[in-house]
Amino acid sequence: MVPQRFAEEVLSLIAPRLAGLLAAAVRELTAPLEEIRLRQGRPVHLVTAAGDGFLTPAGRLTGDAARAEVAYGEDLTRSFQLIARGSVYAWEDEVRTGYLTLPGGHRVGLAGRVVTEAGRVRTFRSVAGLNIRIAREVRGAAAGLLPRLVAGGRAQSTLIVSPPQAGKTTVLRDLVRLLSTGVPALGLRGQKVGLVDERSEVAGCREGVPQLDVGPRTDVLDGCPKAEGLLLLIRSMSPDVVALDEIGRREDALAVLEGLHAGVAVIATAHGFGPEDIRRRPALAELLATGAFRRVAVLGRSRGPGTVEKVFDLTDAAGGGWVADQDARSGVGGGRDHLDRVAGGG
Amino acid sequence: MVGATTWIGWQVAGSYSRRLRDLRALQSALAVLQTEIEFCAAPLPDALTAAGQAVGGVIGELLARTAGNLIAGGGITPGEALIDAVGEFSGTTSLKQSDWEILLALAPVLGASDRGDQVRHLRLAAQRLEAAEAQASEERQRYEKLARYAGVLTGFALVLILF
Repeated sequence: MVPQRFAEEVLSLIAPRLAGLLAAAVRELTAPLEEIRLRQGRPVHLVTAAGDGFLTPAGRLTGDAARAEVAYGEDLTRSFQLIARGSVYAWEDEVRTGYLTLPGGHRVGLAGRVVTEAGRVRTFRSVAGLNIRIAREVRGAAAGLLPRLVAGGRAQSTLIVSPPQAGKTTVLRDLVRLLSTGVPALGLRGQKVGLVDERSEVAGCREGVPQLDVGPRTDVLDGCPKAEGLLLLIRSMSPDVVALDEIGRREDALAVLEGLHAGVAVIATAHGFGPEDIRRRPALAELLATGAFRRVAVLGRSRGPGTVEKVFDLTDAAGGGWVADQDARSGVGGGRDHLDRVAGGG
Repeated sequence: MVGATTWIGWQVAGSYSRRLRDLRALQSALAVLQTEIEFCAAPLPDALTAAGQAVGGVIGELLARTAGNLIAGGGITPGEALIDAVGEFSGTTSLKQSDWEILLALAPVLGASDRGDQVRHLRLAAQRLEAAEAQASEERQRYEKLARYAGVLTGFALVLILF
């Protein structure tokens, strides 16, 4: 069985010729599907949590590219039109940034021939590559992490550091849900959470309404630039916690500082493999040096996406040093430290 | 017999003004569509529905059907949705094949590019429709009355020949 949501949100937007084969292949997968990659004139490439492979004309997965089904120009053009809902012109800003977000929070990256204007991307003349990244809602993905981010019944400002594809967004979404719902066992009451979802990936909004569960006390600013959104939420929605995905620019760092001065806890994610990467990024390094974040959680894939590799408690750190908290390496919450596998990735 | 041929004559004459009316409706519809795309960046089904409602009649129904086909999905592109709708409605109007071809020339590009490009194609179609309208207007002036008289006179001629 292909999950209904996966069929509606993803398969219905791929050229029917390939969608049928993909539906068959997804049924056979043993690990959740992470990406569907279409490249013109080349084999259809699938990436799962367990590895990758190519789609065969029989709807199976193979490691042999020579035996795989090829995506033709017509497949790419049709899929792109379906993804843009027949209205490519309505997505100009998104196309310019190189990706579109689908209802459900799935993200489609674009590659192909670009048209530039004054040195900046204006549009794509032809789309020759599509990467459909499947958003996965994994309830409990952050259940192991949360206890270590709470002190005295309050969520501590946290930076989640993670390489690409390690479940950063999934963990952030579940963290938001848990904070918003409240966890009585931790003495944590439900918090008003403000979520700035610049790329519509965390809440998967459709017309501003979250399609994924982000909790009952969460307000979402969908498609809003992070720095501006954070300040806007603090002014207008009186949040206890503000959550942001993928910070890194200087204005983001300044906005986070503003937020902390306003008395809200900030939960943010950033790209990186560990503390060293963060220290090398000027805006983030400065932000950490100010003591803005109380915790830094490092995610990885050592035991599947969403594995919490380390949690640093910066409140104990003297002189900017990083101290991993006690049970950091011992696995979290009784083996709940890696994401559950979800059939079909939908 | 005279009544029948007169009726035929009137029908033929009427087709000239109906073609003109439909060509004008098509132009108005494309103008609305262009506005919806250029200034509102409205999704194509909404833009087509708005254009259809603005002009009504057969052309309005045709655009509403195109939007309907698109919403129904099934992996079809806007161009295919338009081609299907034209196939369904082309027999119910007085538009000529050359008129439909102007609309169908939009099929490969409809919704498939950025705003500037969409507007360019819609303007081009509007210009071609304008030329078709001028031609239709001339034909109407020239042949409308002729068709009516021809209907009546053919009837009398047949009566004279047969009796």
